Amino acid sequence: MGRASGLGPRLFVFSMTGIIISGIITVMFLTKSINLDNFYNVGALYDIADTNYMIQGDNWNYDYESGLIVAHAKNASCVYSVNHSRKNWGYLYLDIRNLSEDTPAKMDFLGTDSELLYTIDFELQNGGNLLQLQESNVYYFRFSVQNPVSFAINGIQFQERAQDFAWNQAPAVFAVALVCCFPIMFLVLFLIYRRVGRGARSKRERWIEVLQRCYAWPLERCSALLYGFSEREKSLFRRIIFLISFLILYFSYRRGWKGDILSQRRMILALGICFLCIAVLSWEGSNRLINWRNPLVYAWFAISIFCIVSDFVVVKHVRNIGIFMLCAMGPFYMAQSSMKKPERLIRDLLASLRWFYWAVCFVCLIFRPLTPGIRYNGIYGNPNLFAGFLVAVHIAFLTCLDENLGKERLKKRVLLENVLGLVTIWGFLQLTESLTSIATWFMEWVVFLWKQFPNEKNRIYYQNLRRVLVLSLISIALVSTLGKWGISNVSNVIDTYLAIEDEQQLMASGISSPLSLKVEAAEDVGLSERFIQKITSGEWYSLFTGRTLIWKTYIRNWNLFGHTGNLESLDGVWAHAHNAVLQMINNYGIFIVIPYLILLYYSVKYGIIAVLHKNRTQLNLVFVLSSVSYVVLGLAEDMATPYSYINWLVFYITLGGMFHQQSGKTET
Amino acid sequence: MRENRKLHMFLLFLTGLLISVMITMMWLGGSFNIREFMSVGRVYDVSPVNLQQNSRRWSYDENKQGFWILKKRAGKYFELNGLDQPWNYLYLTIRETSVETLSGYVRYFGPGREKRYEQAIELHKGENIISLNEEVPMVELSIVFRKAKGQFVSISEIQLRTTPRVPVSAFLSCFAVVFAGVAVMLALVLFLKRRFVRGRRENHVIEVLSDSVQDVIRISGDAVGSRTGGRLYSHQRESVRKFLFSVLIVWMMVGNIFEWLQNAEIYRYHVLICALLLLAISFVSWDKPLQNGFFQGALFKSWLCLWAGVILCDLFVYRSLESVTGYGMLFAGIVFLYFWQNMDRPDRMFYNLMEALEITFFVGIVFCMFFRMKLPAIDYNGMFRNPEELAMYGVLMALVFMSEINGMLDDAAGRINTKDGIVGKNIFAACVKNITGVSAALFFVLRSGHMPGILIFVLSGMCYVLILAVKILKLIKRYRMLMVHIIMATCLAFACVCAIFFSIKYLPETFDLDVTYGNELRLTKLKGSQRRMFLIENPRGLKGTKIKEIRKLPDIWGSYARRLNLIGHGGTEIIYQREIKPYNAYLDMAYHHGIFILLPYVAFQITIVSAGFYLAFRKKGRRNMFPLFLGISYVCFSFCANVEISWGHPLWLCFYLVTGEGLRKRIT
Repeated sequence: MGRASGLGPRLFVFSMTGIIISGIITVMFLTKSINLDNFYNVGALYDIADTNYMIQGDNWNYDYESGLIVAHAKNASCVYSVNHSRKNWGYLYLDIRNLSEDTPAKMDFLGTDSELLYTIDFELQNGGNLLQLQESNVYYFRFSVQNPVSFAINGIQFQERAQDFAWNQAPAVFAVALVCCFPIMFLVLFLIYRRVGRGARSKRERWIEVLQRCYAWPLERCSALLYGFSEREKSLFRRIIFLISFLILYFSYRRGWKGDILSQRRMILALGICFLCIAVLSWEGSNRLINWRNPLVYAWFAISIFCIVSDFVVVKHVRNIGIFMLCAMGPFYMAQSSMKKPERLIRDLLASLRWFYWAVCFVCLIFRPLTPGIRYNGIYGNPNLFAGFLVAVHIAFLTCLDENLGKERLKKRVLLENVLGLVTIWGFLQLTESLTSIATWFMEWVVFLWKQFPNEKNRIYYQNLRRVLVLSLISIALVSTLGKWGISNVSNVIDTYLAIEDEQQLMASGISSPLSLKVEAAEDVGLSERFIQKITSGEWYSLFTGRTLIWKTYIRNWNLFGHTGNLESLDGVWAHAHNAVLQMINNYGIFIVIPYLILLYYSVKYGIIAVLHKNRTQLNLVFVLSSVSYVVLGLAEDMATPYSYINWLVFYITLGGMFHQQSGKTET
Repeated sequence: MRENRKLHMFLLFLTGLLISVMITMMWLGGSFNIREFMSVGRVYDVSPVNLQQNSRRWSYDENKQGFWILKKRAGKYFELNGLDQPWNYLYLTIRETSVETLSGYVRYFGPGREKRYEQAIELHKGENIISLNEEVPMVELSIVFRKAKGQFVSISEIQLRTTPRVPVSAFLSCFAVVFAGVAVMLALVLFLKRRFVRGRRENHVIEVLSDSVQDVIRISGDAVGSRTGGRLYSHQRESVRKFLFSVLIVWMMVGNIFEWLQNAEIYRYHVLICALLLLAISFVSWDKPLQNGFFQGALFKSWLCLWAGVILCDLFVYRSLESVTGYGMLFAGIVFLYFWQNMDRPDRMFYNLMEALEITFFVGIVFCMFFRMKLPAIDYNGMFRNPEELAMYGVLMALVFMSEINGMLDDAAGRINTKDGIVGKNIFAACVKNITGVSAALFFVLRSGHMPGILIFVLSGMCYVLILAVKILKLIKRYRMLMVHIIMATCLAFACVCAIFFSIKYLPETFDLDVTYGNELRLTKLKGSQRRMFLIENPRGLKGTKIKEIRKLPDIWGSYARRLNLIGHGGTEIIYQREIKPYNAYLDMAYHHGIFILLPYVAFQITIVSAGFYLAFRKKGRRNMFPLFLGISYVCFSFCANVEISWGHPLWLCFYLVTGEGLRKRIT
């Protein structure tokens, strides 16, 4: 990997490989099965969502303050529904805490029309209570306690098979596996380092040059077709094509192209052609090769290969990402790296993002009114998606502002556009109440402010800053009054409401799960209340709005080559993983986590280096912003499912700008 | 253009023909429907075998090919497509009848022979069109004759439809008009093109793309090839190539035998292995740095368009099997052809392929002798799953051996005047191998009982024999021992074939080694009384066999032809309640990949045959008859056999790979 990549990334790769293999061995040992399609092979599991424990029953109340269920009278009971596609289970595991006294209890299992199938009597105790179920399809169950008691339900889990192992064995097994694995991994590392690191270093690294030549030659030939285009024309074409690619992603969501394999193929082809066209438009190289010898490129390449292999082995709902990366984004990165002024391409990207945003604002204003008490969905059917889009556009405005702050002749139109863009984004974000996106937005501002400190400040900078602040205050006033009125009323006044299919109307309080389709009280609860509720709840489930349950399901289903699609993870909902890393593992198998983590780490690192680089341009801020945005948003949202989000595309577009950031361009 | 003028004119004519067919079908179908030109709805043909089976009151007369009605009121059941569906029309063609009019009923039956409806009919000689009650669905129908005791009726066809049938005359008259119009349009286009478009544009997009693809292959090929083939000696390369070709052929046959070609889950792995083997052969063949420039000429363009067209259909039709074929051939095949053209001695690749075919053939013979028994009255399947594939294999191998004999004689004629002269031992050994090979191939073709295969064998054999006889006569004057060698080798070959004959009859049974494949197609010619007689002697002898019936072919072809469309279909048509392949390669290709795939397909066949002519009768260089006869045989099989056995039959592989021999070497 050369000087740039050094021993560190390699050490990380081998350590992670060792840890993952040890982990796999451990769970396989504990579950006594070798199943590469599901390492933790304990059969199907279904956890009842925590929010269901709060429902009221017959003399059965949930105390929100203490978090306890209180049975006020004898034979108090509560009915729970089994919201899972599987209805026939082997066992029911009941985890009880803070039980005031042991009491006889019974569980009635009910059929599809609530008819009684069978009853199990048992002694309710603190801790785990395991009930063996009979062979039948259970749609509901009634949990009743004989005596008036109070207790907390820590979890109710349906199991296909009984869990006949104890987790306390796990550390010992893991340690043994690790002890066995690590020497082997390090021996391999040592041998590779010794053999390849010395003698054949130059030969070994030629493959990346071969890859570059595979991109460069066709680009060189194809660029001859565009002979005669001026830079201005090329720039315009690039902006239009970027805009088309954003529209493709948006309409893919709206029209459900991803769900239909034929539409998906056409969409990917169209997207690929878009990026190849941009690559051809941007190609400025001749026979010059770029220094791509860094872990970021290797990680990107490894991810692409992993995706291709995984796509081949497992027939997925969303496919061809690896081929798209290698065949469309690869030439695009090559062209980007070949440009004498790569900031031109970035500028075009940001411009098209801004164009798209203003078009979205227009659509929202005219066609998508705000409903009080409901989180604002914007042009999407879900507020989190819209918020994700907003933070992607936010990058464009922040970068543009950063570029313009130091300019002597700052155009008023540019200033106004930026400030208005930033303020409206904040306004929309508040309406969406998406905490993950707001955290991302906040991080983007932190990065922006951090970027401002190393700058050599001069009079013009402060003068521009003052103008920005004044204009911001005016914009805030305008947006919070006129803007909010407009978004609430214009569409209703001119009767132009445009419905989106399968739109999720989430109530603004934030108590319910993110996947709930119920519309409850339309109270005007703001973002701060939602934030406070989450923080003060003191429970992971509430803090992450049910995501913990989803994460648990995804972690349980780790395997070698990935799954066909999302998993049934939250009360019968086939939700995405709500975490980029987990989603990647789910899609492409456990080992993709290694290059993916490297990709994330180095994208942030090189983004920072790009800002600090001596030959930096003002637009270099975009790299760190897109990386940070992707990472932060990816912590609690799905950023990894391909062709879904504009953030995803922006991240992978800007990634190419960092491919040669560390060592700069070199001729080889 | 000038050199391929005839081909281009032919393709233009074919284009006009296809467009006319398309317009005619849509016109007659009454709607603009690119997914099914004719919009015929459901059609079901009653099997000809069913039209020859006795019932209790209908007695089939084999000599007169009709039924004698035994009772005053006599009926016969006809099972339909197995689904409870309504039909609109019944087409019943009576070839012969003893009375002018036969009166009776058509009865509609549901599942379990539940009688639902009865409709009076009167039948005459010729085509009878009966309008059925479209509101009454049926699983079975019966035709009952009234007052017809002792009468004779011969039914040649029964067809049920939901839309009326279009007479052939109507189709032809409509087609004639449309074709005239299309021809005029095409002539006009041609005229305008010649009038206004002059000269070739620089940087033609197709050429640029072609060069780009070549660049990618060249760069990556040099990188891999220099580390594989580049490290081997010439003789090592030959041995490895032979071995890899043998593995590839055996692997394909194994895949065919185990039905991997029909299993969507396994097929992609099967093709992957084939593609990797082909790539391995390519890389092993690297002997000098690669150069571009051979991606020209009608043969290669048609080859490329054919496979690109196969892949392109993937954007419009969901298929689980067909697309994999295209990807495998396009990506591995193109690399293979590129490397082949870059070899120092490209002819060696071809001879290695033939040698591998010979080796695998003799291995196959031994396998058949011990494990594949010839059952009495059932056509022999050999190492394959049906007699047709064995016949195709037999023809292929006969061509290989005959071209070997031809080459041997050419070599002998070339050396007879040199100092080395002819080494008798070598000639004798070659005679034994090749004559035995031809004899064994002939034996397999005859045992398969596949009439088209036998005819093609006879046709190609006669041509070869004439050519060989002339050469032998010329040689014998100066080398009389040749005649002795040939006679001795023929005697030995006869003995070998006798050994094979007895072995496949007795050895597998004697040693209890007989291997039967799953879903093996067993065909017999025995019908009627012959069958009954045979069954008296061997009660279980015809278990699971199907009767060969040439009359089925028009129904099968008709079923595929009426479903032709623009973008292709996935899967296979269901005819006579089971999936039946079209027994015609043109229909097969047009059905699966859209009607316009016939353009490159036919162009490829024509160009390969013309290239075969060139290779067979060229004045400079060694003549080679194999590509010519292979092309002709393949074209012949295309009319009446399922020859498109993608990645499953050596004939298919040889036909598409022999392109490399047909291509002219154009290194720039």
